[in-house]
Amino acid sequence: MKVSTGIRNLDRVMDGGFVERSFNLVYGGGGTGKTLFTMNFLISGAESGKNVLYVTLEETWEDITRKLPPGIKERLNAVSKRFHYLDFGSMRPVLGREILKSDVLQEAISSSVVVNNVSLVGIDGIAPLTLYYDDDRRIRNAIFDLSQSLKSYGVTTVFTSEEIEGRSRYGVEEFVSDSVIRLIYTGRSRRLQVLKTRGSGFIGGLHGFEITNDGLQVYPRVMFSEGKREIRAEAIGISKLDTMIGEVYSGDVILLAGPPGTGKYLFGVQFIKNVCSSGKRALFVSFEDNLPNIKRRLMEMGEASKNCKLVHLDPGDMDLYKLMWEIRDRARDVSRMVIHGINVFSEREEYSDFVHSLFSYTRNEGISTLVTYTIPNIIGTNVIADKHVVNVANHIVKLLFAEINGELKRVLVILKAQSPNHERGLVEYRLGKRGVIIVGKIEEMEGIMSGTPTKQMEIQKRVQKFFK
Amino acid sequence: MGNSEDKMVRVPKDMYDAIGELIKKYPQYGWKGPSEFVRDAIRRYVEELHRREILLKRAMKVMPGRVREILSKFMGPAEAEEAYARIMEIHEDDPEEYVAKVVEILKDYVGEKLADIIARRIVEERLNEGEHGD
Repeated sequence: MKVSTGIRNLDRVMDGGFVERSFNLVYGGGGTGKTLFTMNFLISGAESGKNVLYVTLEETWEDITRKLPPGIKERLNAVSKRFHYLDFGSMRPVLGREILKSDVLQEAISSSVVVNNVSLVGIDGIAPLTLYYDDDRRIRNAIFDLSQSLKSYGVTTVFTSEEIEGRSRYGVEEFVSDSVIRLIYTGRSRRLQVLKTRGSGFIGGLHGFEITNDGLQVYPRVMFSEGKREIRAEAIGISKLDTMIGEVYSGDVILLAGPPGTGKYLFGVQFIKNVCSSGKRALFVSFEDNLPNIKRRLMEMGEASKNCKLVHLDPGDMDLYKLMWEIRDRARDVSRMVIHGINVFSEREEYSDFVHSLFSYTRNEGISTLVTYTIPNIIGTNVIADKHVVNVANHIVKLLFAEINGELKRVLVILKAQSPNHERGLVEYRLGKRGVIIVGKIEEMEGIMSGTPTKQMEIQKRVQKFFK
Repeated sequence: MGNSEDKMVRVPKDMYDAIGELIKKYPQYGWKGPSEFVRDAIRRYVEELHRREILLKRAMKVMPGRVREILSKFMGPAEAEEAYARIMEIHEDDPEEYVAKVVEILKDYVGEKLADIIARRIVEERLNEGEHGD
């Protein structure tokens, strides 16, 4: 049997939550959210009708409740009849360190467990135990005795400890715990890592983690799919480009990479226009600041624009794990999606997880996705995009500028497609009021990819001249 | 100095010798011999016991309120009020017995060991106050 952690998405990371009657360690540095984790675990338990007990060994109850975010405080007040506490923090100056002796703690906690019929316990901050126990062996024994006592009463416990040099405070807490969760705060983002769960599986690695006004939220690095949709052949929606690419199926990822000014967002608008016109829903997520243009183009769809959601997200401080879950929430009912400007995140540490999780989710859900990637070089580059997004793309279209007859023209080339018969030539396109217009294949030119092509005839002449 | 009503008590020789040394060491107390020293010691001890009894009785008076105060901080006002009401129902004049009954009630809330610590601390607080105040 499992007991919910009470934290959104953490149960899925931990294969359903904590094992019933287990003793679980949560450790982390100062300000990582250990107290809030414990409080959230207990409040959620009380909300589900359980009697719960919070034991603070370090801070006083008054300080803890004063610092709670307003939403969590409100939740606590609503379940106060089922929420019990023992404040050893405020008792220590009055009653002395004797109260931190293992058997005193055990008796006090078990009395409250029995009297109040408690099934969930949170013990917050075991650091003061050192005031009574002076070596690791004695602390380990004290924690072990406490865990056995609580298990014998059938309760599930979360206890917290400080992190010192990458380990829990005494380095012994892990050994007596059935599961170990580590909380990390870098000053910019919060991370949660499950290090161990006895008798149960878990998803390893660092997960996103957020403290909100009314509770805690985990953003797993892996997204769970709600079931595969039917795979069907689709049209991209740009005249002639469909023929050039060949077969495209629902759930495919199309990567469109090119320098600024090549009209990537227009491809995106046209990509979702078709489905919106047929009454289906689509999502356009932009990380670039050309929102008014995108909006204007979408509005040109008229009534159909109602089926299209446009979201502009400022990439500045955005946590990528949170972002991918936010996109997932918004993409629940859509059949197509555009991710515009994914390159803004390519330097982030969690980018690889972000790309692989997001697109394996869209693939499993049958959401066809067009991803745009801005390459900084205007002319002549062999760069397509970063390896992560290239690896997940089913189709890759490169957009580029080429100087032809003294004019800078827009050209596209299909570098990868699922169909073996896709167009291999370079094709000129224009951007007009109606969007992207495919002009046609560029004949008799070479070196277009370099940005400065020459006519094939001229080369032949030069070769002939050389051999003469 | 003695009279026919006086009774004899025995003290071990070691103690008798120690008394002799103390009399020599502290002439300022004016003990004229071992008998006067013992009489003075007994008088002081009786006074101490009497004072202690007064303080314990005072501790008995403040105990319900102090328990309520401590429990209220420790586990919230609801349990504190309940324990207070139960303690108020104790009818016991003997301080030792009274404290034992308070511990008996407290152990339902916090376990026997912590109950004992709380009761002991309240008594000690009174005794300390007595030492400094009386």
